[in-house]
Amino acid sequence: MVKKKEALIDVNPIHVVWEGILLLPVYGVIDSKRGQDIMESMLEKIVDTQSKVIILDILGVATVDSAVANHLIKITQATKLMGADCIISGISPAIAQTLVSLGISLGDVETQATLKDALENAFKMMDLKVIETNQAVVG
Amino acid sequence: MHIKIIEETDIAKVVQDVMIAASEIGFNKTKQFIIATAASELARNIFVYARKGDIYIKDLNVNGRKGLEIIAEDQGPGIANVKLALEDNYSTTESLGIGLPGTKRLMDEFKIESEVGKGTRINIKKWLDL
Repeated sequence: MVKKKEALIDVNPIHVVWEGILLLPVYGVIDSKRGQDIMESMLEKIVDTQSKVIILDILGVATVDSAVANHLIKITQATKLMGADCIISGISPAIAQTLVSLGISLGDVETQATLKDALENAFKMMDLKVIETNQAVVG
Repeated sequence: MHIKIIEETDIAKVVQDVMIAASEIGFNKTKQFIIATAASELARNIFVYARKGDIYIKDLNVNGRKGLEIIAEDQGPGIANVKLALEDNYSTTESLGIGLPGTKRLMDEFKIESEVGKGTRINIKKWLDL
């Protein structure tokens, strides 16, 4: 019973936002179990959907202490090993300041302030272009 | 406020309670996040190195100066070389080795007392007006 309840809380949704683009919102407190769960479910989803770009949106995380940052770095490294690119979005001013104070470098991980920017970047990486339809009609 | 650290989920309790305490004192969202991260770092240190310990959250009001104090106490193995532990990239485990020096940078005041075989006590403060 307890296990079942935990399983319900721990479900981390992964959205296919576009063919080949996955969105994984990470929220709340990330402990070692959740970090591991997120990593595993994401890697499986990459294989299942043959995705090439993963957006990890961390706007909703409760903290980014060094252990959480370590999880995020590992997740992005594993994604790379599977041949997909990872973008971390939702870097709020609070998260940015905390990472700088802690001295955490996200290395060569692509980061973006907003999910909108990350999605735009993902489209670019996939050689996709969003056009306004009314503009297309005029043209 | 007192939170016992016994299992990993207790770290989440610390984060939540610190967030609430910080917001009640009047810290903005960014500061709340920073203080909660520092508290999380200390709580996690207890869990990883000492297995169990205590976190105390206290409101500060010194001559009208408001702030928040967090104390982390354990009877764990203690830190053999505190100076080294406060240096960046030093770790006895697989971690990033930035927890303690990072926590110091996140807060306004940081005090550590540790004795091998007896335990560790870390005291951090953040002032509202700084």
